[in-house]
Amino acid sequence: MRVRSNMVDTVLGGHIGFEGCPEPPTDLCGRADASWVDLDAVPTDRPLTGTAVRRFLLLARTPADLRRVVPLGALLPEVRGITVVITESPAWRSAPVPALDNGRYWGKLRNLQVCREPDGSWRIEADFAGQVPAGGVLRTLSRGMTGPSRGGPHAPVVSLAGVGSSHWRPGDPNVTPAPVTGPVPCRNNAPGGDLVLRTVTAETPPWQGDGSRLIERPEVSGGTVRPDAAQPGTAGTGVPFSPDVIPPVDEAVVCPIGFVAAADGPVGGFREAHGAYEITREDRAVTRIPLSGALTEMDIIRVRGLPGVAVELDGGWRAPVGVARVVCGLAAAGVPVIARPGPWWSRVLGTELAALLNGFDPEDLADPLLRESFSVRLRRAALRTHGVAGRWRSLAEAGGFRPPDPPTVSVLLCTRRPDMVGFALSQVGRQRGVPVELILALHGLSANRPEVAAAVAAYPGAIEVIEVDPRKVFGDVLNEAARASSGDYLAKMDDDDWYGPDHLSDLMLARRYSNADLVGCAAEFYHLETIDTTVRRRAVTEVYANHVAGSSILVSREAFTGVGGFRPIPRAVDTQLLESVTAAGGRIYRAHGLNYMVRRGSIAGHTWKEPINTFLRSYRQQWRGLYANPLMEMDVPSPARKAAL
Amino acid sequence: MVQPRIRCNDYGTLPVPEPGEWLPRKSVSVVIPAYRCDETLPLALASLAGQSYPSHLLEVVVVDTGGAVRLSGPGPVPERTRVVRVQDGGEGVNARQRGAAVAEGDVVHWLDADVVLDREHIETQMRWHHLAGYLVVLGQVRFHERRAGVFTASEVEAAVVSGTAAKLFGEDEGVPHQVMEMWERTGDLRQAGSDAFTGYVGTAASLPADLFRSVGGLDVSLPLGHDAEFAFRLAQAGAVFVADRRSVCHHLGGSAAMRRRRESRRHTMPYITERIPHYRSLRNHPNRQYLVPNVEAVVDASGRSAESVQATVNGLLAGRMSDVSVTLVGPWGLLAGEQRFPLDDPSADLRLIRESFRGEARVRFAERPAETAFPVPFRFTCPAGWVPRPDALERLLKFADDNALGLVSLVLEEGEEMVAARLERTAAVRRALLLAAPGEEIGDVMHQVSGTVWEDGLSWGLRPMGATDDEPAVDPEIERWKRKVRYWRRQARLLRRQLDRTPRGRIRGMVAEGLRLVRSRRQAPGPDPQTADRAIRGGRRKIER
Repeated sequence: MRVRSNMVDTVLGGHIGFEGCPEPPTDLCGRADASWVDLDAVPTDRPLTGTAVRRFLLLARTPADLRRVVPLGALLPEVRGITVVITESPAWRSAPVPALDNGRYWGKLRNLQVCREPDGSWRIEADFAGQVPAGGVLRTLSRGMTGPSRGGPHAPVVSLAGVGSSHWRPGDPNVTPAPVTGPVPCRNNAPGGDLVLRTVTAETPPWQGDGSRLIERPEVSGGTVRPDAAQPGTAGTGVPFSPDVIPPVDEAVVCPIGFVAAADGPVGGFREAHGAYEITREDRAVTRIPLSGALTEMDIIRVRGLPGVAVELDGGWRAPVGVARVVCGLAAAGVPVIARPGPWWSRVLGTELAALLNGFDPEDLADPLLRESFSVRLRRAALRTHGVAGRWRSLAEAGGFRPPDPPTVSVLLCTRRPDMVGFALSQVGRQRGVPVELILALHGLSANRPEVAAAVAAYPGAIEVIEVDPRKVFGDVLNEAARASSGDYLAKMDDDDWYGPDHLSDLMLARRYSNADLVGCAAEFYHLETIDTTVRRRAVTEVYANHVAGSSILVSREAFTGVGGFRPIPRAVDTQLLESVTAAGGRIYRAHGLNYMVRRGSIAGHTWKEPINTFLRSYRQQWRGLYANPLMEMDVPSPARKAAL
Repeated sequence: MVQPRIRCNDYGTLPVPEPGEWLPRKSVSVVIPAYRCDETLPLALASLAGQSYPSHLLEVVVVDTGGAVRLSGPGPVPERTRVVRVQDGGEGVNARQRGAAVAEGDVVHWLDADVVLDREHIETQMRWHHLAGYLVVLGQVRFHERRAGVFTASEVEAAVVSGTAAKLFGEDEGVPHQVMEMWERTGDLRQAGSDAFTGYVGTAASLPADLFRSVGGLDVSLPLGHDAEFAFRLAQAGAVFVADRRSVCHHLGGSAAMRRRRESRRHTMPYITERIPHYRSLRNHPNRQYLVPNVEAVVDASGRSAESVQATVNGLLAGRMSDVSVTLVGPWGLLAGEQRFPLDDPSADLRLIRESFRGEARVRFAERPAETAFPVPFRFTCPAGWVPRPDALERLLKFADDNALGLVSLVLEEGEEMVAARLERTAAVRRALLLAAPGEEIGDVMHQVSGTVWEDGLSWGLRPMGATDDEPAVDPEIERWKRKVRYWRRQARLLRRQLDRTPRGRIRGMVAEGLRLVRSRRQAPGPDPQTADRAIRGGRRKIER
């Protein structure tokens, strides 16, 4: 093969995520001859380089930063080799192995190497027999780390224009970059995007072309929001301040994964120093965040040990948008934030998040359970309002698009105890935040029994009742129920356990940030009926795991049918489903256990394998009587009955 | 009156009014033992006459043990003052007991005859007694060098009425009682927990008369240490100790009395060691019994096999905590009748159990257990057939103390019925019994005044008797040391191996070997026994590897 001499040594490097650092550690890529650009500061007007390039080097600080390169893929050159260095990545992230896709150029692959260096950084080298698009390779790499995006924020299709616009669609490969003055280029005989998001400064020339689908936002460049874009009251472009003005929180990165329940010591501080924000513990910086406020998973890991982070909102910040984004990000990750937003800040953070922050008493951080409940409430508010999906749902609506319908959940509830039907239906009926359809499988029970009929009549939502032959085994009963259902997701619930009203919506949130095929929660709370005591067991939550509580399984229909449903056996159907999903290559995620409490009755009435002693052998906390944590929203407990252990 | 439920000794939740801003209803009897105090008693009475507490609610009982007290002397005396003469007196405990016995007030307030009170001394203490019926209120005593004779009774009354009693002593601010250090440390006893009773001082203390009677009054057989012993029993009865610094009392002639108090320590020790298990450091003998044990273990023998009861009681008596008494509950009265041929006797097991422990001083037999273990601080109820490991009681007591628990329930077995053992703190039970509304579950009240918790019996060293037979209950302490030995042996082996691997060690070894060979050749032509032995050992080691 003849090699053209002028491209033999052309090496182009791009770095991203090093705003706070004086000098990006470009020597990590091992090519002294490369010319480097900051990918956060490149314009979207034209490809990175006009000349042919032999090798592309990407130096990303974290997987979060890699995800911001993905939307810019079309600007990257065609190359014969690519080197990616990710300087740090959390332990919970998958190794950066490309998840190969439909790209035909993968046929030219000659060599692929993934190494973890002793300093913890990842180095990926790929060489091809011919020219391949660097953007395509990076896309598969990003997908390899986060898992294939299911039900992500991909509608509408967006075109991004202007410096730093990739903050708005991290990890989205379906983006067409457009010149800052427009128009949106065509992509295979169709407009490149249904909506255009353009980042602007005071000097930005006006948009050429159709402005009806245009959204303008202040520019996030060089790591900071331009000061002129940060005047209180407006977004610098005349847009009144609302949550929609700040770039979204990338929930695949900044999320509750790895939440640490035990944290002590002083509350962390927040300040601006040396051209970056710093989160401090006793005046020493724990982590540094660029002024754009874009958090990475490493920042979250570093603040996990702090009981909370106090942010003085009215501290005369140069770029309040960056501060707002940090606050939203920390909240989305479940880091307890202590802040007192006034009216202006409430408009930026959203009323729900602001009310939560204002209503919190920092004294509660000392109690691990109250701290975790606050964290869960923060996650909900921040992820819904400020996550990429939530932000684009709102932007699409404002742009005249009908956003996709939220996914529906079918609850599979199987019972053979008529006296529990009323209770069980009340637990499903109080679920909120997701469209729920209930499939009540009566196992050897008639729907005409008065208790059953009354409970079904009183159920407020969509319900379908099926009667199943008592001779059928449990697995088959559940499969019958699944067959009768129509939701996008299937959730299994038990007839005698307690569920908090946000049980299903929290699982759906967990599914979104974890990208898992099956999610569930930990069985942490048990009410031991025979001794009228409630215990909280020790459990590791917010992790990818092999096991979740069987009565909290929420699985996508696709994954469920892919493994052939439940096995036709009388017991252990849950664990068998988990096994099958794992075997089929699916991922399982275990969310927090604050929405779920198991009723542990007398040993005679149930198929309990565990004797009651095991619950008392090692527990985190114990209460006399029936205790429900605040998130359960049950009106039984009085905190005075809590045991001081 | 619905009484507030105070947790441990934390009386800080009580809404105590400011002096002068509340309405007194309860009457108080001030009891003063008087013995050779002609000079000071008039001063004490004068300061009582000047109290802010309403005089119609204030009674003074002077217990005269010297037969020399006259109330007709100069100086003011409270309206309702009487003298009780005690023939067999001496100073101290007997007089107090007698005085309290005749006192008619709702509250008994102890005072010494050589004190001068601040104007609100009685009132500040009495405001607490209007809030709850199980408080022991302690005043602050200051010791002044100035003695009687410097001021007259009338001067004292005038100073007290005008609220300037402290000025009688001029520059001398007085020395605080040494117990103040402990008050200081525990937030005026609020955080003292079960230690609160050690902050008791009998010089200026008050308590409800009912409470005084319910604990059986003072122990008059004690010449010294009766205050500490009384306070201990009050604590076991569920009392809360309130330290009120605003209730000030000035002691005339100070440090000498305090010195004397310290000297008396030696003479008090045996009495309180026998009677107050709370002072663990005094009970440092590994294997002794005391008048009041630390734990009363209760085993129900009725209807149980002799073997199961024997196993449990023997297990309890074999514990590292020897300071325990066992109460065996059963229908022992049935055994009074004539003895039948053993194999036909329906109460044969009962008889066997009775005989098994005839000579064991720590075992008592009772038809039914007392309502509480009072004054024993803990009761451990263990079903027959379950055997505690030697360290079980000790660990459980520590657990209960560390977590301020009043009740630890231990699940043993879950069958048709729950089998459980329980450790109760007498103070918590007594307070709960005092406070429970009719029909209210005692356990719920105990949870409010202390803490209750369920635990797994096995983890706390309670095993079914069969299991302990297969696997003798080895003292875990022995096990621990054995583990340590194994650990260090392993450690030594590893280090030795590491040493073998280091070149220096190997070289040194080779050099030494060479030298030895050279020497042995020089010394004797035959093979050196040492070297031969070493070679064999080395060879064996290689094979092992």
